[in-house]
Amino acid sequence: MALKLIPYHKMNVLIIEDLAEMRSSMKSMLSAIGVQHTESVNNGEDALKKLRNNTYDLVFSDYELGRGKDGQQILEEVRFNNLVKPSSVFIMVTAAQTQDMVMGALEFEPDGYIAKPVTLELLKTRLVRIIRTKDIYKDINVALDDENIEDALNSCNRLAMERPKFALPAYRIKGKILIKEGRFEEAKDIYETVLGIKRVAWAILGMAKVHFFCKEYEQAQNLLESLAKTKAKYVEAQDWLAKSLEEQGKYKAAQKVLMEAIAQSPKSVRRQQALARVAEKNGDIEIMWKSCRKAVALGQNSCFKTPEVFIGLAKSLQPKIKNGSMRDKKLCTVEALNLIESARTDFELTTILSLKCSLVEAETLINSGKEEEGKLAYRVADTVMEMTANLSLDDRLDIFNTKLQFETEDNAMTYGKQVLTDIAGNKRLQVKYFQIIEVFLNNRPDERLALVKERGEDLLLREDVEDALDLYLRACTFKDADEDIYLGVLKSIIGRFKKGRPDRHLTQKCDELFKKLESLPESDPRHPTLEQLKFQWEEITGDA
Amino acid sequence: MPNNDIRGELLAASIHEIKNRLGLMFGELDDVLSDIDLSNKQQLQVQRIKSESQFVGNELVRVLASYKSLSDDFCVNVDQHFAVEFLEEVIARHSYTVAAHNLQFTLDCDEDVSGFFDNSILFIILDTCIYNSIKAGAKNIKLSATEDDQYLYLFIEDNGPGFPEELLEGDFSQGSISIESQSTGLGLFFANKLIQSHQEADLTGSIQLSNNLSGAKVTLTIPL
Repeated sequence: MALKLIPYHKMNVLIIEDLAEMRSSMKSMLSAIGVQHTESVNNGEDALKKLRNNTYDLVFSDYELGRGKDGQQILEEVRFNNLVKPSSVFIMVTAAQTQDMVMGALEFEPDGYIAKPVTLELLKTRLVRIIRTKDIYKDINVALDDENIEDALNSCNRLAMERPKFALPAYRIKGKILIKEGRFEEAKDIYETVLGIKRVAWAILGMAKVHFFCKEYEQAQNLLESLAKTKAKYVEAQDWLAKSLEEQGKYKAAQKVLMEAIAQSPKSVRRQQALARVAEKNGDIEIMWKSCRKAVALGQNSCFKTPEVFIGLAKSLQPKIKNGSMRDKKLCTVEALNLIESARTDFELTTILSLKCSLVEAETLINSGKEEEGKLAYRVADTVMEMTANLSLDDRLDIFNTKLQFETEDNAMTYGKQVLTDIAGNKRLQVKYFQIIEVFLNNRPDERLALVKERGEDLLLREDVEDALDLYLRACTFKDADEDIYLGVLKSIIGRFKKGRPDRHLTQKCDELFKKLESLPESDPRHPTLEQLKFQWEEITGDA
Repeated sequence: MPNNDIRGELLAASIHEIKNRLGLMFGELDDVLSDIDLSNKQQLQVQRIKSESQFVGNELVRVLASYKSLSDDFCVNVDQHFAVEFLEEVIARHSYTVAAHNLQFTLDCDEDVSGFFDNSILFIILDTCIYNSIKAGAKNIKLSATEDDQYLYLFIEDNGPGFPEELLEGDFSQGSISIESQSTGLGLFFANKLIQSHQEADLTGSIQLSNNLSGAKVTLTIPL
């Protein structure tokens, strides 16, 4: 390739770096190679503001930016909103320690990486390399700058034809463009071609995305799971896996995948939003609260900000408002009401979302002891409810929960029974339904215990040991938990072991409960059951 | 789980943890050191500390990868990489090594040479070769690459004393290790295992050792 001089003096450069010293050192190194226009910012929020209002030819972003967004989050917004022209160069600067973790983004990838410590010589060599590589795709990128899709696609084909070495990268770009344009059949062809040559990760992800958009969720899931086996660090693949699981209603599996992805890379707004969404579906309030809180904080000044997590956060604060210390109660009430206010003022809410807002508002008020104001808010919600069609079953369970607090028990239960009928065989929603009643009966322990026992026996009868175990373990913490509950726990644990899912912690729990039940007199009608369970347990533990 | 497996898992988990903690520590150290004015002599010492800490970090990464390579479900993640870009990156990663050991890298590679490999694995293999050269006392290391219809070839040549005869004669791929060249032999044994996980049709990656006029030469062969 002919050596062209790179016109550094004409370039507009942005440096995103939190440490002042590093900023000035980058600046002086850049000016040493001829760059004349540099600007710098010290955080992601300011960076996005600059990127929205100016045009840069070259952007350096540090990956680790202290609090707030990290480099990958900036890059995602940049790519998502086209804040940097396709022909411009975006470089991620990484610390040596995190380099391997950071490198290898499949979906939102920078044009290149530079490892710290950045020396003048390193900067020169890496810059020349990255800019010259970028130059190979110039025709494609210029066409994309002008939003001329056909030209861009043709340029991809031409590059693949003329320089076979660059066929795969050309197809990679082509596949992305086709997906963005919704031309899934063509995208499928491209990825099939590539996968016929090599099973490269980006093509597997690309194909999985095509399946996802074509609503072939199970195929998407299979591809993504095969990808997870090769290398766990592709968090983007995990995001798509979680999405595919979510679409199939496999919320627990989706939550597990998202929690792993977040442990690895916690600063993605959309990942936190996704976790908040599935945790709500799973009725996991603690996780919902954590992820909503992170999503709200990370979403500031982000194009990915959504009202759902504001309302979700207010909703997940309710247990603290209801049962927390005086201090928690006060703080959380103020926070929840502020969130509801922000959701209403910062977004254009759909009918369903404004209904959710009013429901949470009513709940916040009544839980914090402002009964009259709560009733007013509920009345607003009630009128919206009447007018809203297409409520999901999850929404209707929320409504049922609020009705229990604001309407006569008969009215609320009539509504609840109807929802329960509509839930039919959906186990997840049944669990949620019974949890709502359980919480409602908090102050009526006799009825609560009776409900739990009835529900538990029902679950065991259907061999749903996991849900039964959850229920009985929760009931163990009730003050009035009795032998029936302990036996229920034992039955569920033994059932679980028999299904081939042993757990060390549960073994301890079993031993503990058998000890507790030693006082059960032989005359008790439940004694034979206990003996039988003991026998089964010895069989299990004897084997191990 | 049999005891042997547990033993391995325990070590692997612990090394993983150590690696992460060291990474954090070295990061902090970098920050502290960059805030201090140092004399020239101290600068040199700092370079050595950094180089050593990088070595420890790389070594742990290598041990973990080698450990994983022994398991049945180990699989590499290949993508197309251009040799020149990859080798430049290798040199860039060794900036501390260069400063601390007075090392000189040269690179000789056509722009268009490319291959299919897992670059995180190849970084480890190159590290093994480079540290071997340094241990042997080499001051110049030349990295180069070529390709033919079937393979990509990466060459690592140094100006050290060359490999000991028994290493050249013995079959290091079988893990036969002599006393004198123990660490070198073991490193290459695992490097060979890692490169063997690069397969295409009936072709398999491999490592060849030789001595040329100037010193040791390692040839990495990776199927296209």
